[in-house]
Amino acid sequence: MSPQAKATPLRAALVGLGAISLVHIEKLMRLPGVQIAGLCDLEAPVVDAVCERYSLGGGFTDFDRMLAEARPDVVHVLTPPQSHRGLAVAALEAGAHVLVEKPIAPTREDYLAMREAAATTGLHLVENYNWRQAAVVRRALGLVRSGAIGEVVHVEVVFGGVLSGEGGPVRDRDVVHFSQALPGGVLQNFASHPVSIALAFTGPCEGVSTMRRCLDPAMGSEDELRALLAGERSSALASVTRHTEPPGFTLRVAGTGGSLEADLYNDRLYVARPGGGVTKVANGVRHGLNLLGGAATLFADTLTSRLDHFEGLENLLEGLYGAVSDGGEPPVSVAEIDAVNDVMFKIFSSEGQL
Amino acid sequence: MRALVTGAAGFLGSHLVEELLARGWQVDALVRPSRELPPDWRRRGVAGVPIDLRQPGERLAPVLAECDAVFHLAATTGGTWRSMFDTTVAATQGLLDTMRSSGWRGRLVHVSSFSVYGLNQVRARSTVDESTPLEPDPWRRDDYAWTKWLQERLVRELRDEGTVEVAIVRPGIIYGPGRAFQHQLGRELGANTLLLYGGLVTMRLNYVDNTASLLAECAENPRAAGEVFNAVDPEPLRQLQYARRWRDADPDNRRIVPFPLFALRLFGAALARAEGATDGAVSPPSFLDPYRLKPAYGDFRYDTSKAPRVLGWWPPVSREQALDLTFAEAGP
Repeated sequence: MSPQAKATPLRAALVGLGAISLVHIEKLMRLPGVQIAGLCDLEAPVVDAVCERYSLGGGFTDFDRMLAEARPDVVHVLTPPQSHRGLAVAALEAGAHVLVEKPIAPTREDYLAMREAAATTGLHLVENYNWRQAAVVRRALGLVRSGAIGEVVHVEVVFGGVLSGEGGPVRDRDVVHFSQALPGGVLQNFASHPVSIALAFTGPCEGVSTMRRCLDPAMGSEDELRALLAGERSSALASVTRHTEPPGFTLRVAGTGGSLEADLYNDRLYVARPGGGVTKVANGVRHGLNLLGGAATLFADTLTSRLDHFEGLENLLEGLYGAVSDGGEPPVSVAEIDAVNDVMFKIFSSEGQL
Repeated sequence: MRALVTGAAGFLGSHLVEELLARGWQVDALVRPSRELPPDWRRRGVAGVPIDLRQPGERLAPVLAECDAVFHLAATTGGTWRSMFDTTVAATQGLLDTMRSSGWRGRLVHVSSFSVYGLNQVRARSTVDESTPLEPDPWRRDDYAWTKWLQERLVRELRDEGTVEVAIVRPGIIYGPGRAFQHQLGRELGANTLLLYGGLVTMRLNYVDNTASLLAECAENPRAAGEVFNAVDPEPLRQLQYARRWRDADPDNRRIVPFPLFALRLFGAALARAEGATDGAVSPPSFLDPYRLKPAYGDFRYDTSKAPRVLGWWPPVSREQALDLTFAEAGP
């Protein structure tokens, strides 16, 4: 049953009114059958300003009070990762399902405590892999699962040019950004995107080799990551790079019966068929047409604001609130979160470092 | 007389410090701890106050206690909405709360922005002055307009409490040496090409030393207390006139590419209409959003008479001098 079919709307509450919070609010406001019942941040002025902007009541600076008074069905934990464990466990114990921004936790210990609380309470704990839920990635996964490129042999996901330009608050030398204080620094704030996508194509990962390095000492932490993931019969290279230009987010999946490439920022997908001779020429022609069509679509989408880099969050919220409403499965399973975080904690430990 | 200048390391801040020194003020320059004060300032007695207003701690109150006036310029134009909020709004809240809790009784001269005005609610070619209504939906403009609007509201609340004398200055577009290109012209295509939106729009230009002079005057002149002043230079200049000065500073390399403003407006209006019809599936991008286009490129007249009338003050730098000074350094 979709949330809108219920007579009583589901109650959403958000804690942590940082940069991403307005995206969550705007997506929730477009979701039928959902009501924003509480917004919480330690800073009262920001709570007041956001409530005023969206004509919302239910502003809080005390999280426990919000849980008690707003009685949320779902809590979005959008604070720095160092505080996720305490907030998520409290929300689960108060009877709310929990959506947590990535990275779900700075350490494996924190993650396991949250997972345990979810298992004990029987409530959903979902980490936001919004790019994994983007329509173009879903289309690519659908093609692969339908056998369009045969068996997957290798996957490459490049999240490129993150924090390009000045780097915004991450480069602030006076107030340390939360990501600089993560065990894996700034990279840990981004890596779950390519890792979650790579694992969706390779399946469970049996080993990780990692290269992390810093090309810009002024960044304050490592800013280049390559993680080689070994699946049972396939491999993946998940990359986060700060220094490549222009910024882009690309996926390539090579299989025994063809290959596929997707441009996540521009919502473009291309499949190359196997074979030489005429097929090779046909592939070239189709790729050219795909690029031309993509350029035209990109132009039109830019002028009409149709490209939405948070469309994946919309898909994820629709799935999560639908699952809460009808008791079904959430769009991100516990097994998927386990798999992604197992790789994440290996990447940001000394294990397997090249 | 001693002044504390927040945002002293910025473009306007550094000119204000010079203006205050010339007027005989002792200056405390509040800068983020990571910023260096110019060595020249130290030699001339400017005291550096390394405090980040987002986390001022206990060190701000003793500095305030020594000052007769505070010039509040600190704000930011970039970053995420939350980093802009923290730097522009929360930092101001902290400063004003310290003034309240320490019982400070000096004069606060606050640098606001023209973006607080509700220019979408003003007819084209009508006159904008200090009585023009404020923006009813600042979040529809952009994060800068929203945070500057929130910031000024905090300052007006302090003014209305009556314990601190407050003067508010709303500058137009501040220009000067090192800041010649202005977004009210259009868009930069590379370093040397200007895509000029229209050409006939009257710009709300304000030469940086004129802004600095008005700010200093607001601290010194008793009649400024409780008042709001727009800072727009009195001799109007249209986009094309300014653009030509910009081009003529380096005519071999710079070029102007005109783009019809009405085309932007028409397309933006059509997309805004489509937004309603498609339940938001299609909407204008920010550069075509009519709610942003009109404040940026609307053709308004600017009444610049209040500061001369109330304060007996006149901008010290004429339009021609200001243009010469601005474009001299960019010569071929």
